[in-house]
Amino acid sequence: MRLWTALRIEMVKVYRRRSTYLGFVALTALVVLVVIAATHRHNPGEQLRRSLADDFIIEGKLVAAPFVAYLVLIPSCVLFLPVLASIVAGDQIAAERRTGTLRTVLTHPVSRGVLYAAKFLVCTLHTIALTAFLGCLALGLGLAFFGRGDLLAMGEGIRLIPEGEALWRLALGYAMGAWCAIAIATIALFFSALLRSGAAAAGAAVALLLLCSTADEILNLDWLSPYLMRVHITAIMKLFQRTIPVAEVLKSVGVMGLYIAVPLVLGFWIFRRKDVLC
Amino acid sequence: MSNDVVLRTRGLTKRFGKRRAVDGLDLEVRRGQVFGFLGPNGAGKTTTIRMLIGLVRPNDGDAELFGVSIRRRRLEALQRVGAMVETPAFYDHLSGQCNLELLSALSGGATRGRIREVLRIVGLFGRERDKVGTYSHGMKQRLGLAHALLPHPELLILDEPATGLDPEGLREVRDLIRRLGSEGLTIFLSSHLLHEVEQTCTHVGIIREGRLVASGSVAELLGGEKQTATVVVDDPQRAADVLGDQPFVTVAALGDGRLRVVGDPDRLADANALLVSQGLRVSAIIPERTSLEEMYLRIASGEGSG
Repeated sequence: MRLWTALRIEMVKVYRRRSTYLGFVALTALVVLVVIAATHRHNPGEQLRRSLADDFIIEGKLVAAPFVAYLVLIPSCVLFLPVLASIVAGDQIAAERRTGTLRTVLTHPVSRGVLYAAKFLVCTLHTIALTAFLGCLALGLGLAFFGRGDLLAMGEGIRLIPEGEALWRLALGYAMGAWCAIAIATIALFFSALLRSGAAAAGAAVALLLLCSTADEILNLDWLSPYLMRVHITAIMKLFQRTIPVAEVLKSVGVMGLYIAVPLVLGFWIFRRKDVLC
Repeated sequence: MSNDVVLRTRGLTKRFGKRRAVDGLDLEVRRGQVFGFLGPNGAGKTTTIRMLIGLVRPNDGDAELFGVSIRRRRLEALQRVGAMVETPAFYDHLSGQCNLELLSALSGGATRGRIREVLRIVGLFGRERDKVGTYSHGMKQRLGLAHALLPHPELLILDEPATGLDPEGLREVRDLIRRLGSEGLTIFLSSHLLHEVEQTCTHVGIIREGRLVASGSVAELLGGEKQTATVVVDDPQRAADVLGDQPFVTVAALGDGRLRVVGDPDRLADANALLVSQGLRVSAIIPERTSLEEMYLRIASGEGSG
């Protein structure tokens, strides 16, 4: 059976399930909250304007569509996207094992390898869909409420990035966010091959992410830090520096690539060999 | 290997820790047979079936379907097989028809016409657009049969196909299996319903503690059993005395003008002739047919083997 057929089947299974769309609902709620916060007079742009008012005259708007997408980016990449992607990925094998549908599927002449690859691809596509939806919604609602404009980026000082440049930097930021979320989803898929509960698989992946974050904050070990996920997820902010440190960004992309490749291969090996007893 | 052998296991073994769930199983099923695979709970029936499909990897030995090893060439071995393992499971959020369309794609696809045909065969036509989550247990069982029949298999492997069915459903499944068997389909099924197996199967294998303890045609297995008969005679006590000394028959019970005797089936006539020659008046000799259930219980408990 070809991979394309297997992928089509997996897509139908995932997108005919109503619970899949809860992720999109959650992201919509996130963006709406950010827009509400941005319209409030205590939003970061207005706070900046007031703090600089004694020394500078600031004309034009500090809050525009790109700014909404920028505000949404990091919290979603650090937490929301990984969690939502893990939920779908965690169910891929564990839930099918628990309900018995994995047994039904494997009575057919279908390669376990092709099946695993199709499940990985559907998790990847779903993660990309969530990220693209998030970015487009943030930009769209930002455009509706605040109109076009430059991006006020904060981090290493304050930068005002022209609109055109801001859009491609945001696109890169969301792409990197998707890449990081795919890594968490792949880890959840790996746990899904081991466990019988989709929730446990998703939880284990998110727990690993949180563990990396905690380890980085508490231990603060220089030799360990380069291998922790959180460091490379937050490297998304480097895309908004005046000069993008390409080598560092590529290194982060590469490390997250390892977080995809290793559990993918391990999960594939386990799934091919594991007895289906449920 | 003969072209007639559709399913063969050689030394098939599965261990879970120290426990041998299946222990050196050697089995053959020939084309056209309806083979009933019987055994007590925990005997290894379902584990065997899972190994036949490739859901479980054997520790030793192998199974071949149409001469193709399930260990080395699983995809090729399953090309001509339809299977239902334990309680059928489907995607509850999809309709019965959608489930069949999706799953059939795993075996190369099935036309809408074929899907309608198998749904009619199992009696589910008219409910195919309802979500499987709304189906009763019996309906899911029927859908499982439809799913197994969908790819036009030459070998049907069914694990407890009648589980959870009402009497009408049991009869329908029995009639379906008989009809499919008569059309030349080879069927390998496990069941606890011995009466159903006796009525539908041509051959039987009995497994106990992971080992095959009896195998053969139903007629052979039951024919080798001793025959029990009730003899209605005018003087049962005297008849018991006459037959008591005979080596070919045993008096099992006496009372109420009747005698129960056990012996070789072809020697009952000799018992009748002996009684008559002694002046006794025999009104009737009523054979009690040994059922598969009796034979199975004897073998499964370890009292006998085939």
